[in-house]
Amino acid sequence: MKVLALALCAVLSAVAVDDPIEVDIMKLTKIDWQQGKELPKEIRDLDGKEIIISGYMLTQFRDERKTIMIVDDSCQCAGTPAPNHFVEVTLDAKTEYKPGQLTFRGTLSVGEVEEDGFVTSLYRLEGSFF
Amino acid sequence: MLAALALLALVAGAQDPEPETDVERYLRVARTGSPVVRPQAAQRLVRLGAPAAERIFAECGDSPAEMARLGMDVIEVLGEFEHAELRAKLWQALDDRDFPWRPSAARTLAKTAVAAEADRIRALAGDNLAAVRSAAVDGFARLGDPERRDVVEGLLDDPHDRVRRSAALLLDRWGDPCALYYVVEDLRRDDRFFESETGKSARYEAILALEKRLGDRHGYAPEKPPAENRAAIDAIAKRVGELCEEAPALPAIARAGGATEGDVLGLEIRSCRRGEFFLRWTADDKLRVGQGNPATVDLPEGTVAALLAAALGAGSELDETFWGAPGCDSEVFYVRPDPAQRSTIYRVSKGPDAVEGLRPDALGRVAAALLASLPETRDDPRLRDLRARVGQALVAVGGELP
Repeated sequence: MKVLALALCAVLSAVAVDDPIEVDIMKLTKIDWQQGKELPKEIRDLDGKEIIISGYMLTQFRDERKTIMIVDDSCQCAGTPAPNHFVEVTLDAKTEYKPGQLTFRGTLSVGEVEEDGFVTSLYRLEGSFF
Repeated sequence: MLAALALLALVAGAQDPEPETDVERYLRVARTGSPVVRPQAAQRLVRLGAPAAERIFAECGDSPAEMARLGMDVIEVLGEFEHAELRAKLWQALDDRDFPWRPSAARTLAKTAVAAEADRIRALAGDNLAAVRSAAVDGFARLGDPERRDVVEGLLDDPHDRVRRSAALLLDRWGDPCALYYVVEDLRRDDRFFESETGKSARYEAILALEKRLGDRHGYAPEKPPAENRAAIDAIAKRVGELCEEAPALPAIARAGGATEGDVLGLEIRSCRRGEFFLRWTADDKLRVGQGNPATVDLPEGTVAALLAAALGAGSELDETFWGAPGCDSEVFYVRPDPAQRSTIYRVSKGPDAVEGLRPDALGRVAAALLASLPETRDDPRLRDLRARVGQALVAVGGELP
């Protein structure tokens, strides 16, 4: 019985400490996207997964907030971002704007979210600074 | 009594507000909504057609400066309306070098260009903004006029990689698959601009275009460095070789430069009016200009040590790292005395309107010193009138230098 319990513990802890997947933000953002079009399988497969991802905070938002947008480019001068050009990150605490590349860990959710008929996000991460 | 009637009217008005029309709603959202929905709202305006065009036209005012108040995302779609007066105003705005949304105006005009505008599209190919030159390629594609082939071929030497790739892909469409070698070359890029992975970004864009053209990635993984993609690059080059017998000799500006070392100071300027500049100073007194395979200039010995000391001194006076507001004009200073460490980044940014006293004095002194270290001009297109062009861009973003 004791052996069985130990084995179960070992299995559970192996699951719990599963390494998060390192995801290159450009893998998400550098795709051709159209509203309603299915995302590539390798991206859909990331839905619900624990990931680590790096990017730059969108400069449009300078106030302290819990939900930020990260992009793959430090400048973001090419115009306003399309839904596939950013990851919406909901942090466990408010943050001020931080320049430079930042890394986050959390659970990724993939798919179009619409508000009032507009697609407001494609990728969402719930997590924290890593 | 009068007061009571006025109150009654006010209450009645509040209870029965005029419903917002779709045109007003989408115009409002396209101008002031969340950044991600603005382009989508602008597209809805296009679908509404003539009533939206008339409403927008009424908002254009009498000058490009007034038209700029429509905002970038509305400007980005104006060419899609069939409205001759609106189109004329858009061309007028594009001709104004101080119009802040010139790339958006150029893109929408180019994507909807008509034959009578061919010469104007041709002129865009020589613009100081890479985004406008790239739009010229879209215009040539739309007009489908191989007579412009020489202009498009000229853009294969463009300082900006996106312009080169667009030109190469159009030449391929026009029956010159040898131009695809320019795109293949980007698969070999591994350059960075400080922490920005500029080479990787180019790799992603290049493989996306080549996959569409060739129907296969041949196992190429853009997130991996070129050294780990050799077999895939060879396979893709072989496919292109089947389409083009003799690979062209690529100019230095288009060749993959690989990683560079020793960058200790950097200045990245992106001005919606004066263009983009990527400048790096190395510990061994070299100036590198541009991304990818940058142009290199030898500086007098000790130049960079003095510049670095000035930058570190200025940094000690600054307790912030961001000045201004997000917008289309920015200058970013990178300071990295130890190239193995991350840079300290100082950013000055603003929207289309001039902001007095935006750049702090300490940073202004650094900017002036960096500017003075630049060569006035050289033959390489990236270095032509470099000091003057960078000086104008700095003034356009952060204001006059000390």
